[in-house]
Amino acid sequence: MINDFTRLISALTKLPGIGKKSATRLSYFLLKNKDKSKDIFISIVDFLDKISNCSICGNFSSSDPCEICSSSNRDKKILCVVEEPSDLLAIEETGCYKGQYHILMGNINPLEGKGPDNLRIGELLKRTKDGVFEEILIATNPTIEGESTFLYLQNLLADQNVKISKIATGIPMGGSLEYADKYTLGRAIQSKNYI
Amino acid sequence: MFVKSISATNFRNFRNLEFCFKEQERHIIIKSPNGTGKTNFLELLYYFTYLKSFRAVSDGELINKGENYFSILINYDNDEDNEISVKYLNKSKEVVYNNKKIKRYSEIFGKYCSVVFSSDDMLIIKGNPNYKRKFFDMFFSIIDIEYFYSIKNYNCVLKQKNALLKNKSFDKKLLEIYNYQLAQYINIIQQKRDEFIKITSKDFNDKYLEIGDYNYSAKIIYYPSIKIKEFTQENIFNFLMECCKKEVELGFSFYGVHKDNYQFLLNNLNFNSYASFGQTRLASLIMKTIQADNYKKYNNISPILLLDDVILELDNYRKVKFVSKIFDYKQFFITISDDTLLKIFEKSSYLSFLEIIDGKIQKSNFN
Repeated sequence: MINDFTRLISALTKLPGIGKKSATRLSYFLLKNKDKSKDIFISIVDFLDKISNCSICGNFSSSDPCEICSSSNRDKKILCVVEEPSDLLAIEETGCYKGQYHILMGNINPLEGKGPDNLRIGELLKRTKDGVFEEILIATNPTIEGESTFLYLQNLLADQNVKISKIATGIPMGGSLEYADKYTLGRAIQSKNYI
Repeated sequence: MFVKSISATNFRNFRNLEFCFKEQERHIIIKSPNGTGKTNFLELLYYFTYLKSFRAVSDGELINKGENYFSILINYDNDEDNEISVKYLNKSKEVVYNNKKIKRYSEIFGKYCSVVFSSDDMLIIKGNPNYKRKFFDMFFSIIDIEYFYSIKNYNCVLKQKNALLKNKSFDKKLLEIYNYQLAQYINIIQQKRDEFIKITSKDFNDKYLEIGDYNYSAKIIYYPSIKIKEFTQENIFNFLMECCKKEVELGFSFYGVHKDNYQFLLNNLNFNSYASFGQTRLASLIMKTIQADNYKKYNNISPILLLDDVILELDNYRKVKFVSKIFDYKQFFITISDDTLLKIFEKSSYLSFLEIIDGKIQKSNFN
């Protein structure tokens, strides 16, 4: 039993945010609630079978093309480039954007062995070269790696006849200037808007 | 800033230490024979500043032998009462500031300030460029938060560029991007280094003449590794692109602010080859005093000064002059191993004498 148990624990610790202690607690829960556990297990397998990547934007979806790519209600002239599917979800939840998406599946990070060839940049260029998009909004993270990725894409897309935009950075809504970290506040002042 | 009480369990040779300082105990002299733990006590007082020692040791090495944790607590007055406690166990630290658990260590930086004067400070004047850059980066980060972030970001990009250069078949466009990002930060860092060193050099000269009582001038010069006529982001970028070939051959970044240097001059001659040991020691003490002054000037905090056997090499006249300068600070701790030094402090009305016996601090009556 002990061997099986440690095997399950080490398997569970591979999940993000799960340490050894949580994994042990989860393992006992699964053992004590076998029916519930089987239900969970079935929904996981079902979920994994159903969901695959959309061949256009790269997002996880149960249909191909995904709901966003095949929707007729969305603006086909604007494309938003993000690093991860979770970024897409965050933007969707704002309800402020109604265009198309393209997911890179990461950012350029040679330290972790990730170059431009490991991202979905080739697919992006294929999508944009026909000139169907009027604007490309690049929404990479405001980190050093996100910034490098943005600059790299900007360079690649420069010779295509398309408007390139970048999401703004600054003070969060509902936040107070007093409590903002100095660097963010400084950046916000540098990129002020004229009214 | 004023330390009101300090306690430690299993920190270095202090198994169980507890000590309170009274309002008038501001100029604290610690006198004990070698090896009793004087520097350890300063290390303890310093630890709360950056949550690490000023000596090159890991946190694990600070634990008393045979134990598996240390826990320390400081209570200090900075216009209001503050408390920081740190517990180190199983390679992780729990830091509590005024009864609130701290999530990121950086939240604590700047809450408690101390400046340590140690024998290694000579390296600021005579050491290798790497040591000097490290000192000045910390020095300028106090003055300017943009400088701090620019250095941090520069190092991130530099690491990525070096990782790229190691790979022989890399994307040339990506190298261009990294050079573009580096140029952006080099432009900021170089300008700020140039500006700050001019101010610091003037302070350095004034203080050196005042305390040192010399007739010749002292100055600091900044040598950027990128030498171009006009410093603009575009020119720096073009310079980096021209140097690409050499960097690709070498497999690492050879040009940038990580290769800059500083030099200390006395009467227009290099300290390294011209100045005496005492003159160099005085220069290092003055640089540290300027650093402490900057806390006052830019952050409105009077830091705690921690002096570890550093005034020994000065002659008597300059010892007196230097010590009279540090009397202006709210509180300082100085370790000495020689009775003759006690005379220098006679003028202070805030004196307090401590000694360390068997890992315990106690008051003593040397005077």
